Amino acid sequence: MGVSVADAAPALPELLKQSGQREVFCGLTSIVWLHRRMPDAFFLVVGSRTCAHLVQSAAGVMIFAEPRFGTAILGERDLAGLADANDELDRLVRDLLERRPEIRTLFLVGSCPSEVIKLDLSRAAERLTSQFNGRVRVLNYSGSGIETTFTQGEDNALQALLPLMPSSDESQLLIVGTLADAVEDRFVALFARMGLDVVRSLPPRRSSELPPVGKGTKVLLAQPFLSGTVRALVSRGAQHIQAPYPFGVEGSRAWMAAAAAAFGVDPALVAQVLDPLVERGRRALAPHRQVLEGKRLFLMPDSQMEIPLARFLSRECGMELVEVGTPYLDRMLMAEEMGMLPAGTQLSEGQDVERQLERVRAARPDLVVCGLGLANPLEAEGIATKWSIELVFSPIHGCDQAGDLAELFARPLRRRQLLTFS
Amino acid sequence: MELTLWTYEGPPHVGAMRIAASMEGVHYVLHAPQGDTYADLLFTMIERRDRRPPVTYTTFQARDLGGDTAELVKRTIADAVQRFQPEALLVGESCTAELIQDQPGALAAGMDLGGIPMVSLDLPAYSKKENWGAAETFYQLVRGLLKSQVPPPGTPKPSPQRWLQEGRRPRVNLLGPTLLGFRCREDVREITTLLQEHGTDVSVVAPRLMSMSASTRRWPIRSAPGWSAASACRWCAPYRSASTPPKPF
Ligand code: SF4
Repeated sequence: MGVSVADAAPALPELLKQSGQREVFCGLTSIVWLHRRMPDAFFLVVGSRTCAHLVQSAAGVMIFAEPRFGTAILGERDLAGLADANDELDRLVRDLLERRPEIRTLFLVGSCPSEVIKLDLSRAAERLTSQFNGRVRVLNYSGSGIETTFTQGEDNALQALLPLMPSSDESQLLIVGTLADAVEDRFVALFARMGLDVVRSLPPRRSSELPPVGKGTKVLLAQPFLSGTVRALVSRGAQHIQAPYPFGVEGSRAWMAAAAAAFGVDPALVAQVLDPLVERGRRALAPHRQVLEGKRLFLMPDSQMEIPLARFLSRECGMELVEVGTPYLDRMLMAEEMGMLPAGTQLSEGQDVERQLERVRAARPDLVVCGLGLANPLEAEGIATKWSIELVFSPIHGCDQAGDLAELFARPLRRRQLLTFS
Repeated sequence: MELTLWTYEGPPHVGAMRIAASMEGVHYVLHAPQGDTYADLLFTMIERRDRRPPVTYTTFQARDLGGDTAELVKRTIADAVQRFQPEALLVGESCTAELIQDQPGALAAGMDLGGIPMVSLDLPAYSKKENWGAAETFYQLVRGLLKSQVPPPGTPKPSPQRWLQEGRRPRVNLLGPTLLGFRCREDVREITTLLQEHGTDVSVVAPRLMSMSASTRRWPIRSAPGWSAASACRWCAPYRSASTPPKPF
């Protein structure tokens, strides 16, 4: 289908814009990591059996005794009458909350079917919040495939939390985007050593302990897919700290240094805290760089993390970039990253999967970062792959993780080498 | 509305994908939003196949809904037929497309597909599930492709003793085993061995790994029904030469 060309940053060739079949999850997928981050929350998809099947397929085979996500599956009766559908939803939520008193926040997650039939989940959330009288907060957001891709679900979930964040002009650093708990602790400790004592996170570990926001808030994005959230925080008075994302040694250092600079921390102190980390991180990277150097990389559009990862893999691991796909390009969020890409990097936005696969076959890259539906078929064609979904589940942020992050990409190449030589 | 924490079966169009992916030469155009492409991973990761299932999705978005999604369906069908050159085309929709009522099957019926047979699938996503979808798809495919070969009324049934007259062993078809079916591969092997030990050969195993062109014409002979083939077997039954053997389980 159609391929058109739009303008791009000066050092880069024109952006390849594509439309056709997109092979990417919908925003419901982010429930898989959000429910782990906030164990006192429950995510109730209002949708179809397809939605239920998608979330559990993306999550892999995990059956919890007390799962914190589920699907209210619409039946034919719900489609016939919206009044009934609202009653049914209320009944189902009441049953669920009675059985699960530990739930503090219930997210009603909209899907394609609920949106097409115009089931008003924001009214449902208001109605249910008042019914539960403060015991549980009921929120709603869209994770539908007609509105969102993959990681955009987190962007919408955070925006749903935003109105509940208290207003305060207290000076604070707000890290926005889900981090592994251990990684978050590490960042907080490092910032403390640089003299930043008030460091909070969105989403928080407990859904009911939301950070405040206001004129004293400086926002540091830990994930590159939070376009709506950062703009909403800015409209509440916060200031967005422009920085590359904390992937790799270079990105992580620049990310922490940008935050420190925003609070006027002496660069000498920043260097004193970060330089040893940079040193260690580079040493951890070195053996993986040997495997990755000179190898050609193709990133299919999937998690929205492609551009920062491409920057890390080219600059710190020596990989050559064949094509860097992204589901959508937010130039404000990618400003720093795009400036760091090597000249001549071909970016593509959107997807026509068959034509993109033709480009993969023609270029025969050494490694393709892609979704689970494409990986094994490409492997069968002799091309090594890395599953992009691993990148949202693994702790990859920070200088300390740079070696592990590089290892994720080196592993499939090492495995291939072993298979070839044995 | 029903609270579901875990679903063993997927939606009915996943059943249709299992039939399409089990056969050679069949392509399935599915009117569905982008997230529904997750179903590919069932085949590439769980079944560990070396190729994607033969499915093209329209991946319509909210912004398409105001415009012409029917046009998108037609474009997707035309592109898929040109690219994959299937011997038979399945056209259907997932839960969301069912609500917007573009009727992709009717749209396909109005197109020039170069003479390939097209089967329109009507799989109600809000009342049925995966196994039903597989059975219905297989039935519609068999029926759609073999309708023209139904013997005229009054044609005498082939003699159940034919194999004796022809001096060979009797043979049956195994209908129903599919990809992603629980232990289907092992069951086919086991049942084939058991039948052979009892003097009966297995002729066609379908839909699993059956080629469209090679074997469709041999379907309406004796079949051992099981798995997802109950409807197809019922439809074939009047044309079979003997009564249905007992189910394998
Ligand atoms: S794309 Fe839409 S219908 Fe499909 S799983 Fe996602 S929300 Fe549900």
